[in-house]
Amino acid sequence: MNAWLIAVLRFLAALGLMLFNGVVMIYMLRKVLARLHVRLGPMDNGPHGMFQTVFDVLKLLTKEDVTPRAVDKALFFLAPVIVFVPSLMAYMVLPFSRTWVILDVPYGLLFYFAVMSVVPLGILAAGWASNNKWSFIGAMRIVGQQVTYEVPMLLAALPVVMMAGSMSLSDIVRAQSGTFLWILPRWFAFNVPALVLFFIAGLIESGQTPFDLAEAESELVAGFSTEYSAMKFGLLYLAEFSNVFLFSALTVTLFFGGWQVPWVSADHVQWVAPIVFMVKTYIGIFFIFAIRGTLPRIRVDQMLATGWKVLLPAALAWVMVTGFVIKVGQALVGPR
Amino acid sequence: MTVARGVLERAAVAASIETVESLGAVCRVSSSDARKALVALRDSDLAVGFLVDLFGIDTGEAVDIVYHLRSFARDEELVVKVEHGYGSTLESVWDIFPAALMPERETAELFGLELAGHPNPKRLLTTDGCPPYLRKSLVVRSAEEVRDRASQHVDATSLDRTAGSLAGGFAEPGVAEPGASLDATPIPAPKPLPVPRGLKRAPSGVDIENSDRLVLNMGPQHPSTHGVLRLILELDGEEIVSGEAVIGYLHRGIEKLAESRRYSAVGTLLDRGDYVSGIHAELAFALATEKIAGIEVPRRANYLRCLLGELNRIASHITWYGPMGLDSGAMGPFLYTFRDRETILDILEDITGQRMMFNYVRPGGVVNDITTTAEAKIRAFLDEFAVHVDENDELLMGNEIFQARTQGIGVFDRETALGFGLTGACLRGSGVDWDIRRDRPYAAYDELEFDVPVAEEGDVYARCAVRLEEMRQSARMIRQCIEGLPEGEHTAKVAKVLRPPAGEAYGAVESPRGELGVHLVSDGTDSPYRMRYRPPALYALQAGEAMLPGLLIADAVVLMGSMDLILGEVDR
Amino acid sequence: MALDKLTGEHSAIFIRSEQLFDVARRKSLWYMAFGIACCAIEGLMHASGPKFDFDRMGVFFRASPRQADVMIVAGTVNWKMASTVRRLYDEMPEPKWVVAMGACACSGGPFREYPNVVMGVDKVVPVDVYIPGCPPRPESVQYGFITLMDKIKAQTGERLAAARHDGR
Repeated sequence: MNAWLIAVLRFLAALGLMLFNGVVMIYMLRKVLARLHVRLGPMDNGPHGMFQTVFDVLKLLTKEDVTPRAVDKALFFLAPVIVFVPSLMAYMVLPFSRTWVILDVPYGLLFYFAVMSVVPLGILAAGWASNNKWSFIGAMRIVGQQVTYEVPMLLAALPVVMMAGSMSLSDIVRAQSGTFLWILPRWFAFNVPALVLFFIAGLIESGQTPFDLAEAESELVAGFSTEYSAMKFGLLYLAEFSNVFLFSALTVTLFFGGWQVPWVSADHVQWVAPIVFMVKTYIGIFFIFAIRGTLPRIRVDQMLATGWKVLLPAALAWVMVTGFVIKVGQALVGPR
Repeated sequence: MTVARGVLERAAVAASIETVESLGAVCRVSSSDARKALVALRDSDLAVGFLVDLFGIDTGEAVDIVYHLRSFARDEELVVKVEHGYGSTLESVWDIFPAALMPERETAELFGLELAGHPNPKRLLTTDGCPPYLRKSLVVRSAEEVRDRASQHVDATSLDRTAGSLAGGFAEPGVAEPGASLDATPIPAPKPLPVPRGLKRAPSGVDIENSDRLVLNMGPQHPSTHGVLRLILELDGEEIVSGEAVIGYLHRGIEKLAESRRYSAVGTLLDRGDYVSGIHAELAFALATEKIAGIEVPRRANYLRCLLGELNRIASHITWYGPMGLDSGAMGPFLYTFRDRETILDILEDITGQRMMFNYVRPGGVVNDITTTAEAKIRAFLDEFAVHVDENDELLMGNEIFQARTQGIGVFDRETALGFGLTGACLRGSGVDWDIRRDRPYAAYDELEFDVPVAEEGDVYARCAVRLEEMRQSARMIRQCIEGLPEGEHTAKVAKVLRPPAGEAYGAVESPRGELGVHLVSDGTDSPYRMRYRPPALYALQAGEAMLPGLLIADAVVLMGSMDLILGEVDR
Repeated sequence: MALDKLTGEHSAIFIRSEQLFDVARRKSLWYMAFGIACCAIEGLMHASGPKFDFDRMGVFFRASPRQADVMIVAGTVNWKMASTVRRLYDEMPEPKWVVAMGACACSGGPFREYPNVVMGVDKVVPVDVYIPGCPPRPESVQYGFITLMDKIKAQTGERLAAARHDGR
């Protein structure tokens, strides 16, 4: 087929997946929080409230889009775009199966991090352009938070890269096939410190409780999105959930074998691989939402202190340890 | 009393001291001697260093400013009355008693006095142009005016929302150094209490254009400030340099309207003051009325008052605990504890007929007896609650993030807490062991066994821990009330339209927020002449406001949460 | 014109999409809680609590007025508060509705005689649904919202009928 047509179809698939995720995840959040909080959550709109997010999105489409008079108009308009588009771009490198990768490049992980580091710029633009002190404070917090934790997150992913020998996400998934110690699947999750460091750093990067300082509802009204209404707000809201999905998907790819099913050869599962991938990702998302509904929020100076003083040295140290263990293992056993 | 007379004679203050029945020793001084007298009394052996309340009474010819003082060391109370003519100047005593800061502003604006020597002489509750509401010459709307509601016009676009200046014009917000005196005799400087820095540089006086500080407005509509509280914060980055609390957004005239209600109906107003602990407010009023009228309350009624009071205390602490978790970001405790609150409200509805505004405790006793269904529900609730309170304790108080957020924040030491007139859990969290239920027993508390939790650290976490333990003690008391409920009448024989003889009394209860007192002046008619509601949350608010400098925004939210404010009570 | 016939006021697309958006607006009412006084505890905290869960109907709480559809005025409005109420109402984007909850917001309530009190929030903002009570039970507030949903449906019906009628 025409290469342009394929490219457009792939783009539309990514966009469709992002919107589908948004709809499902918002509903899932409300239901998970409700059940955790001995409530029921949406029930009236559709069987068990399944159409609730659809109605929410439709309503947001028809709300008046208020642009306050004193905002920086260009930035105010662009900020949701700057937040939304990188999120969409990061979908391109996720491997859904051996062949279902939109952008199968040898630097997939690096691409992901590079693209996701643009998001804080968008949030800063949103907070600044709103001409609202509350948004401004939220934006400053986000910049501090995300700049602090980008490096530990990347460092925490380095052991995985070392173990797989490549930065391509498809290669990383492939390196997790098979078993070791006869029964355990060769998931990188057994490198537990790397998983823990990555998960914490990633929670902070995606701005989820206990680290949702930028949108701390009880403190900052609605944080950086205070002045946004209608679909601009919808885009920001959707992008936040999309980031959570991406984070969970990346965790699954790096640590939990991606689209592979344990103990079953990769060839047999190609036709269910995307479903397996989505199921694993949603289990991770459920876990993140459960944390959101339970834990209190950490304070901004405590969080920054933890990032610089604890996570960064720990991630560095673990990179060294992993490298050392790999080299020793190779010397003893021979190259894998 | 003789000690007081001797003290005042030595200070060369002309005073008349008499004992008013049901109120105690009342000392009357002239307005020019007021400050001298207060300092002399505070520094003498009487050691009346705690200002319980400061308010005014319009006697028809002048305004009596009442200073209700207490000595913890001697466990004595003293009331000092100072007569001020209409439109005269009220000299501030904030450097003698820092607790006087907000009550003086309120008294000056509601009685039309000028305020001198005060660091922040602005109106507290009303906006510019409002008349002095508590003066007897001002009448409330008549029934015709109310029926004619449609003709009340409001120009919504030109409403003023700022705190205005006091009528008559005042000096700009000035700086009153502690120890500075207004007359020739220098007043010895007291042990330095933290000067509210927020008042030294009132944020409204900051030159915003030329300063690199951010002036942030929190409220009155804000998801976290409990009720319509407005905090004006001056920030350096995220750190608060000074803060000012602006209240009055819920000022609805409970004290004024009580003067036109019958004694059995005043409870409806008080319910809506501190709206999460209505029983306690009603009880304070009933105690004051019973003191004046000399009514003897039957034992069963007292037990019922205690029973519902303690149920109400648990409900109120739950209403505090949930938002405390929300303030720090945890959504879970709010919903888990509200299950218990629903059960309690169900029980209260069973007994009183209402979930929140009970009007159940009346002078003489209570309105109706307990029902058998309620008894069963209470027992079931107690069993459930014993498990839940431990769970919720572990969930929030045991959480490391919450502890990191609350330990070491907003520390009140003993002197500061006493100087600001704090009572209740805020005072006990700073190490002062004072509980009205045990130290000035009312209702059936002298027959019940309970412990009073006290913490030493004085930070937010200490206050939270004190309140959690109070919940457990309340459950213990409820069980004793239910099991030991005596036979008898649920109310004394009281006239349907109660007309107590002329007199004055002060009834105080330990409400979940602190000492809730009602100072009642009756003139023999079927309505109170003056009902003063001493709001514990107002004193907690001004103490919290003084602690704001140096905290981060997130800490300010948590600090205000720990002071347990209910704005209905603060604004009245 | 042909385009007008396809998407103009009398076309099936317009009518059906208006009805669809009307359904969406009804089923996704986000409220900005203006909890001023006692009614806030009953109608906002308890109505969203575990026993009376408001989220079942798709109604939940947004902190910022710019993301809210409904403003629930819960409590007494006095002269000092009135300008804040008006300002927040003006900040909400259309379409917006106001629910006056409790006797104080409806007509001044037990405090109506005090001169500092505004006798009803409808003096300051236009009110769509009045919920009497002091305080109204959480079920009353939820019933008030159901009434509001019916009102929105009726308003949409009137609008569409008027549009159709104008064409004739």
